[in-house]
Amino acid sequence: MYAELHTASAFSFLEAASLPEDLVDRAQELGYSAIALCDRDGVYGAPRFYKAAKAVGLHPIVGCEISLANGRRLTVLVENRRGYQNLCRLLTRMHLSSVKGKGRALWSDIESYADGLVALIDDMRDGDRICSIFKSQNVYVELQRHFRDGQEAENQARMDFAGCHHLPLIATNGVRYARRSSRQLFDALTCIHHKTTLDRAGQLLELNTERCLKSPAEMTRLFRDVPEAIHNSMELSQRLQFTLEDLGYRFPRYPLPPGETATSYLRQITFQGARERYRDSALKQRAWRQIEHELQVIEKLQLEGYFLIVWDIAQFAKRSSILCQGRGSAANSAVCYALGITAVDPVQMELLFERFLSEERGEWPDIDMDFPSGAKRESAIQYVYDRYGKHGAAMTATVVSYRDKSAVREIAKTLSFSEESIERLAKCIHYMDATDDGEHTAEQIRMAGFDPTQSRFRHLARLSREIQNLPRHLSQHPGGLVICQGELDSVVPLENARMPDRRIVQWDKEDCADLGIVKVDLLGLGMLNALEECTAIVNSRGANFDLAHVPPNDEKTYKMIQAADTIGAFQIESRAQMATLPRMRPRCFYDLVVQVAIIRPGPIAGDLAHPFLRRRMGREPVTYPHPSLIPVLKRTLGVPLFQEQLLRMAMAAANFTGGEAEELRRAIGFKRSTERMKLIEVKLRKGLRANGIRGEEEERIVKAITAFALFGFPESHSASFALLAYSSSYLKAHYPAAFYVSLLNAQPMGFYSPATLVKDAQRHGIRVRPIDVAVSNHRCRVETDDRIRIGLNYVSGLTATSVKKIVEQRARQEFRSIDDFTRRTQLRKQELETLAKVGALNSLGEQVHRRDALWQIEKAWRSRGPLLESLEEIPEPSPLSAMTPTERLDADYRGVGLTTGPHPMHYQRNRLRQMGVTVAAQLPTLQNGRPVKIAGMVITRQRPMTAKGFVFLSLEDETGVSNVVVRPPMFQQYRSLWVSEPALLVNGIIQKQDGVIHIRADDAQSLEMNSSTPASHDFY
Amino acid sequence: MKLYACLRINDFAVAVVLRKSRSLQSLPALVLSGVAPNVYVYQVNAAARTVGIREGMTLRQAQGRFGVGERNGELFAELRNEQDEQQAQRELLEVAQQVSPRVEDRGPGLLLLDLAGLPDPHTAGGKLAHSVEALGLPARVATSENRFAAVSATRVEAGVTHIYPHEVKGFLEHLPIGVLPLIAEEHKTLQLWGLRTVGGFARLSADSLTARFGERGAFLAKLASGEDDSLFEAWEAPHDFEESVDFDWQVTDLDPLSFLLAEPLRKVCQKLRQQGSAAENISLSLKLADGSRCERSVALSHPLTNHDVLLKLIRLELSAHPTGKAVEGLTITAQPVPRRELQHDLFSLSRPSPERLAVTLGRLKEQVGLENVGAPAVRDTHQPRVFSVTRFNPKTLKQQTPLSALGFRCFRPPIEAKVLEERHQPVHVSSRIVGGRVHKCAGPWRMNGDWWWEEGWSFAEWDVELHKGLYRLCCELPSQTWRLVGVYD
Repeated sequence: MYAELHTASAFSFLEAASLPEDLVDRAQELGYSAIALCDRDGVYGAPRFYKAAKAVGLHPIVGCEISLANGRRLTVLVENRRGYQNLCRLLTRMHLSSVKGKGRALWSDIESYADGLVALIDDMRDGDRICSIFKSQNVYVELQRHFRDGQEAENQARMDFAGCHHLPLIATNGVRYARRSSRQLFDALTCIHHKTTLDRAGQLLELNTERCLKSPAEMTRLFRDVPEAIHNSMELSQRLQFTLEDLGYRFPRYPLPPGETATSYLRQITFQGARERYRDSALKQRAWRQIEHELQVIEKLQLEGYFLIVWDIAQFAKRSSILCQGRGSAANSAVCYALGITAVDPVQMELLFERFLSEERGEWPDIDMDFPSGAKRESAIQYVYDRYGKHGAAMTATVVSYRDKSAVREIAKTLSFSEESIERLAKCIHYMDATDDGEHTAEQIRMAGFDPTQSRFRHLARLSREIQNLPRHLSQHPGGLVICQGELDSVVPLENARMPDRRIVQWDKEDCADLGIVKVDLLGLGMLNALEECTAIVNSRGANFDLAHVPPNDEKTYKMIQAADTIGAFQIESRAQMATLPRMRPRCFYDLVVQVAIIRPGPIAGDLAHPFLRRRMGREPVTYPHPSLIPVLKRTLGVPLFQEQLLRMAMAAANFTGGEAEELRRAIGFKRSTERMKLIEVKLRKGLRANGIRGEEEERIVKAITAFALFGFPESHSASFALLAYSSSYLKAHYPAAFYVSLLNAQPMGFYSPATLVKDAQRHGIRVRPIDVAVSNHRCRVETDDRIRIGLNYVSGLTATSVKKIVEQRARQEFRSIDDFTRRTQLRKQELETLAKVGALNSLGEQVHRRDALWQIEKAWRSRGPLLESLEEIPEPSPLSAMTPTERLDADYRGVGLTTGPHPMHYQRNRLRQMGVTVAAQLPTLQNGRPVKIAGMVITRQRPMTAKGFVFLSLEDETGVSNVVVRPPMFQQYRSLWVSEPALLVNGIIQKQDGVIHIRADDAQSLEMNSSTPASHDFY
Repeated sequence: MKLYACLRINDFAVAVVLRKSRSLQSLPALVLSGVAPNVYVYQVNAAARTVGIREGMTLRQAQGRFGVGERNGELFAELRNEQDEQQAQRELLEVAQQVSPRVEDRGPGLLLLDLAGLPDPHTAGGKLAHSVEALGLPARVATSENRFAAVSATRVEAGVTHIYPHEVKGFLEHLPIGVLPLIAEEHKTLQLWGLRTVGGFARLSADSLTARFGERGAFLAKLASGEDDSLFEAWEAPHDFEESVDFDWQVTDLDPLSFLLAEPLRKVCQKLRQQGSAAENISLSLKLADGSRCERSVALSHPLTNHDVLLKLIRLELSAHPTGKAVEGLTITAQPVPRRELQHDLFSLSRPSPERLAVTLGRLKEQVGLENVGAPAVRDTHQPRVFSVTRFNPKTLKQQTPLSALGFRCFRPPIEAKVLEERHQPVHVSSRIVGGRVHKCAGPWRMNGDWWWEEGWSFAEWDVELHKGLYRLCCELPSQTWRLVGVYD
């Protein structure tokens, strides 16, 4: 029999065309027992290959094609763990010693790390060198047969070499794709790699389709004249016993004070923290019991070091005054709360620890920490690097794959489509499905104005689908850090990221988790930037606000939330959230926790949201699947909403332990294995019967648990988000000027564009002042309690250096005129023009309007020669007329992306009034079911996957926002209208329910605006 | 008195395509440019524009726009023909020169005529329009003493327009600013200034414009205020290297035809020498007895002016490709290139004289066919035995070391064969040159490619040892057609 020991996957980045899973599937179909993955310069695909192979009982061998400094390659296979560690170190040395993607190995490097590796010689020029480095039993001479003229001569030379050096021969097929049908995709990838087209690629392309995975029988037939080459492949595969199961990864030890053990130290700091957290709390005793329980579990699982390390990062943040908050399932832990890692009290919230950690599960806990985006998060990352060394910590990678538009763009280039055609196609391709039969893609091509039946378009459609999900390049994950005891580079190769001072591992976070490598997520959250800045502004203006002690149950805040006045508030600002708030009417923190969780794809698709809301409004009786579940489901009125409730239901009704319940959730939630699901269901039913729950009741509970396990949202996660939702709402209600300024400075973030935030601010009585070079700073700022000033950073095309020059020159001496400004700041003409266009230069003279400024700068920016340079020009009166209001509006949107002047719809109002259009603010006064005509700028478009093709649009006018519901047939009929028109006039029926107003669209038309409009935020 | 006429053919590329038939001219029409899959609408006429068809659309989109209103009739679409456009432009220039000897060529479909000094300049516009209409092209003509006004008038007015001197300023006043010859940067600035008309621009002082736009500001200010002192660049007809002769009787043999050819060819060569040029290509257009024309062409590997050599080459060409009919007349056209006299290297081997080389190549072409003479070039493809013939240029030839000692002779064309197979291997071959049992074989060598074209290729090849030697056998897939493609020496 035969084992294929030279296979490359798409993780060779453009040098192979099949995913590791496809190779494994095909190998299984063909009856292989072992297969080796040898990707170029890395083990990028090894975890996925290992996981897929393990699932089907195939022996996955790790290998690699190493690029040599002489331009050739060396294929190596891993024999044992020592060999694997050497391979990882060799690859790390290669990659870290050069810029990303340019690493090459020197013979001296290979000599240092040859132990435990088996080399395959395929180029005679390197044969002697390889023989001198590797032990003789670890060198094989590789033969390949691709039905290529001339290849036999090469093989003969190899056989002669092997004979002379007494080396064994080995047959491989140098596989580049799993099936013959993928050869065309491989050719396309080759073109992308060489930045050429199929028409020009010539001999870069494949000669034939022979580099697919062939059956062992076919390979045996092919090498029937050298049977030992086939036999050796099998023998070697049996010798190469190393798999990724045996990585040898250890989590780092935390440096402890003298005399302390990790256990004692963790206990000490946990109780020290708990004493502060629960100083005057009535829950103290319960908290102590919970902490004791958690510590025991942590000690049993020997995870003290992990908690100490995460605590250390949180302490660093605290010392550096960086706002930091743990989220995710860590918020279920009282120990995390006591250590200051999370901000939600799990004892008071009755959160379930087992969702976070359990003895049975045997997995590392997952702690995600939010930091303000940008420099502060970077300082936390650098702290970890400094503490655990250059080779001890690295970011996890993110595999960037070909998706939708990128797939179409790249394939179209290879098929010689012009840039213009590519742009046109990319605009119309919204998503591509690898399983699509082609009709959907053809329709999208048709929409772009092309004929999908033409040969090149057919190839485009097919190859674009096939390339979907193939890795394109490796990027760094936004926050996932892995840390290792000792050298991380002996576990996984490291490489330089594009960012300076960043190193990444070759695996993504799922791969790391699957292989038991602990990661800590240090994520950037724009809202934390906003809250941090807002707190600073508020306190600088005399208040004493502390984010850790936001006054709870604030009436003004809840009133605002109930009225869905939540634009800018964290997590509860989206259209769907705003449509639920008047029904939910949150009155306390827990209501907000539910509110955050309820508008999620899961609860909506699982049809959990509506029953809960009906019960909350008293329109449906509160019932429970079984009396034993009343304590579990009471807080959510008998409707299970959170994952923790699933766990508790299994614990209460079927006597599951916390760990077993979590196992149940994972088994159902991820559908990992039907066999595993069946086993756990049997156990669940057994437990229910033991408690006397049988028949209909049993079925009801099993159904409830299995149905909502797919959809439930973690309560702890929701609670962490609700805390930020409440804090941001509180700041909006009490300190609106500071709130809007901090939001504008934290962009891009959130659901709405700055233009919408500014209009919302104005509706809340805040006067928003335009950009003015005489007073505006780099960022937006608060001028008075009800007045804010837009910052210079909002001027499109104005560089940070230019902004700095303006502010510095102004600090030295005020600008006297436009000429003075131009001379001293030395800005580019385009920057000056934009400043003039948006009115930022108007204050530099008497009654200067925007066109005056444009007139003056046209002369001022020209060099006057050295003699006249120092003389200030006396401004001459401009003969140009001032901009009209709509011209000003247009200039604002083009130059700043927002306007501080009247809303664009204001200028249309007279015309619209004559057409019988109702403004958004009047909609609450109209009767339900009445026909209505509304108009506005489209600020958001949503087409949620859960909405069965319904599309939701938010239209903004000068009085507020109205929501439009578009039914699927109407959307399909006028798709381009709904998708691309910046402003719409909609005829429809007003639908009012529980204070929520929607317009069901019956007809729509484009609205001519006479000016540009801000870009909408689209989610589809 | 100054007076100018401007002639404009709106949507020139479309007009050229439509002039084939008057009945087409009222149709909404467009011309396309590009090569599949990158074909776009290049130009549309007014009728197409009114139904929303625009430049840059795909044909499918244009058809979609046309179909939206469920309109009757058809949308005329054709690929752009640049040769026809050049021809039409030449015809326009000829017609214009019949009206005035001073014509300025301002681009495709746009001419300016200096009417000063003509006996009846005020009727010249009408005459011009009439002559152009006779060519099948819709003409817009405007006359004025101000060239800018005349040119601008043809943009906005159809038919024939005359602008009197006192009307110039008033006429320019309301024209859109875009009629000024602005560069993109200037156009952007004027838009920022809110200027929409030429009149608005003319109201700005020339000094302030000079301070902002330099010399261009002064120039534009003058244009806008009705002063146009730019240079009139009169068009000159290119030197023609063409001679025609009509015979008094029909010529059927090559010798008398060569005799008759000699004089016009001598004249052409003389013209070439006078202009310091040499012929790179000689075209011969023969008027045949049945009224049709027969075209012949001689491409030269080295530019020549030698009358005798050229005559020899034409003879060879005519003898290789006879007309088959009696000839009544001929036109000889030379394609000129600048003549270069080269100093030969004293230390290298002398090369054959260009004249002798040209004659030799001409003889070769006569013997083996035009397409089979030149320098072979290997094409960058895996497709076996594919090459292209490029122009023979001895300067670019390089000595190449043979890659293998084993020679291989290709059969061109390959020889059809019948093959018996056993276990997917050829065991017996029969063909018109060789046949018999296969003693040994190596292969198959599989190759396929160009799958993205409608016609891809796929072959499997074997080296087979027959009793007479070693041959290369090729099976074309999927048709399973067998051929012997060559033999090893």
